[in-house]
Amino acid sequence: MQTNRNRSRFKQGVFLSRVFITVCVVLLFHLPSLFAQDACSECHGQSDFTTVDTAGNEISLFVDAQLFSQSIHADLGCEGCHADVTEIPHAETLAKVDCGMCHDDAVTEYQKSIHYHAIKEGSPDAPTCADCHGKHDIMPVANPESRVHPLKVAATCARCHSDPKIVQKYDIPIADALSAYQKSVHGVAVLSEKNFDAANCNSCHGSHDIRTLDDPAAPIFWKNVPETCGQCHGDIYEQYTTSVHWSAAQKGIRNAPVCTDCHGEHEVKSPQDPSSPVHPLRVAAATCERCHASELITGRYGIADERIATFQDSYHGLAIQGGSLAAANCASCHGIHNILPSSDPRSMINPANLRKTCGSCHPGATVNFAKGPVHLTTSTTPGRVVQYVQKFYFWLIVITIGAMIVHNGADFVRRARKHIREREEE
Amino acid sequence: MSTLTMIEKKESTAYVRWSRNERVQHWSLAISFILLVITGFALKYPDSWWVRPVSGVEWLFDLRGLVHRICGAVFLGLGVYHTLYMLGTHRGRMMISAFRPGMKDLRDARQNIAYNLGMSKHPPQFGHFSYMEKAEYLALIWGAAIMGITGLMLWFENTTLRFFSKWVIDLVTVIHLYEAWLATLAIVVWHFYYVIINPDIYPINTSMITGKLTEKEMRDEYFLEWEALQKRDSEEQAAEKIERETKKM
Repeated sequence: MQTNRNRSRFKQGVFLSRVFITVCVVLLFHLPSLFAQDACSECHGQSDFTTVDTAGNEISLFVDAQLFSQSIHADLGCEGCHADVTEIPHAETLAKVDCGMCHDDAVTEYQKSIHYHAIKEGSPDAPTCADCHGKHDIMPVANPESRVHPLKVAATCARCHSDPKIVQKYDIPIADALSAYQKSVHGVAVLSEKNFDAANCNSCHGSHDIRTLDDPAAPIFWKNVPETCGQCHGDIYEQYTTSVHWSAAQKGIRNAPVCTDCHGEHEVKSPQDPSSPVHPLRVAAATCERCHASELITGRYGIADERIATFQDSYHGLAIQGGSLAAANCASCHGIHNILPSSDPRSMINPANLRKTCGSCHPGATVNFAKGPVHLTTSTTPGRVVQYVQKFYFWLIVITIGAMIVHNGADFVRRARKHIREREEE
Repeated sequence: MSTLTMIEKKESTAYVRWSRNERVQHWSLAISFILLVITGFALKYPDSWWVRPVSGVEWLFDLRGLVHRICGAVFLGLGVYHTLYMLGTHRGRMMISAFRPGMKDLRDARQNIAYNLGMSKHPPQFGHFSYMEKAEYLALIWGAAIMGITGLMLWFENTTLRFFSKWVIDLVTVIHLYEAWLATLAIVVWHFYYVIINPDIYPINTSMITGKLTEKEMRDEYFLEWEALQKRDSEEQAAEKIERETKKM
């Protein structure tokens, strides 16, 4: 009896174990994503699970299951990416995760980037997918928690691009683009006003295929800049491409300004911002002057010189320096993006258009506005006449006031000596 | 006699040189002139040390322009009033003849320079206006006309441009600036010398405040007029004496 009971209990035990093993096997092979994770988390769920790398540094092997379950890749499970794990415990070193298994387009693009080239050249710092996108916590780009969401992408890039050590090591020309961007009209729009249509790093630099400034395929290559900005500023792009500046740039003249030469790059400000180099009060002295008062550039291309100096000397220029927003600045007469030489019939300063241009401030402007030089230089007859008058007055003042000083000086000396004499006599 | 005397009455020891009306004219001119100088040069020299701190502040720039035009209007209004005053009143017409320059002024100037350089023992003697005052007054009229015309042309630039080419505006701007320098320097070097810096006058000639000159000032500065007044007084006294004696008889 006893034996029978024992036998039956043994059979029961065997049966239960078989059920258990079967369940386990079924679970292991049929619901791997759900249960394998549990298996993985036996070790990787421990927050103190670490190993030591070849350099002897302790590195954490902990994977936060909570974070992973929220990531866009949660459904793939561990082996979705770590496909070389076939048994647990697995080999000590696993293959690097190949994002290209799914994201082959992105990887192909990435392989054209400066980051990939740097890695090929042996840089230990250049970013791979995970450095920008994260690892187990990858979120869709539209999620504000994503490291590449407009709200966060600048900070993600800045981890290297505003790190003085990296900047120095790789001689990155712009040392702290992040702080410039944060103050820019784009940065403020994205970061403070939560306008995610405004430009972030990727809007101008691209994302996976980031290229350097000297690469003609880069969206920031100088000749590509107008088109890059034109992605958002389409109307202005249309205007700019009619201008003399763009026709010159198209000929390969690097001195011809593209968008960033006047507006700045990472630090680009709204023209209404008083610190913008194209603010009405600053545009002449901070922007146009850089080329149009440059001996090198005016000399090289035979552009009229003295334009800035004559403007600054005129009432318009003086009023601007005084702070008047009502006075004309360079752009008031020459246009902004559509600047053309006066010989072009479309130009705002073509003689046929001057009455209209001047008339926008001076109601009822007559033909006299179009007569004679606007920028009064001594290479014109009226300019020389005015210069003679200036010279005449200068010498008139020197002689008249000089004579007064001599006349009164003698009087002063006599009277002063008389006073001293009288005081001595007292 | 030939020396014109403008002094009507003699108050014990003081001679009334400027009427209240003339003093108000002078100080209106002085205040508007000084404000015109400040607000004008503030436009022309935005980078100078005294403009720099307010340069680029729009409402201050607009205020500057407003003050300049108000003072310009006061200055021009004063010019018109002064012209009427000089031509339309007896005192004004007497002043016009007192201001008329002549050969004596050239001789006075030569003698004054010689005296100041120690080449003559005697200073020149002046009537109601010395050659220095005549020169300044005539220069003021000339300067006011130039500044008034050019100022109005710049104030109403759209009207100016209806009749003249744009370069005329440039010319007028240059004239307005240089004439302003000439006027300002003349006031500082010439006028301020005679009413402030002059060691015999310093710290200030009060006659444009009180309107009066003392006996000593009158004798020292305008000897010929003082002498003529003395003569007139004694003649009057003599005439009165004769009159009284005639009545007695």
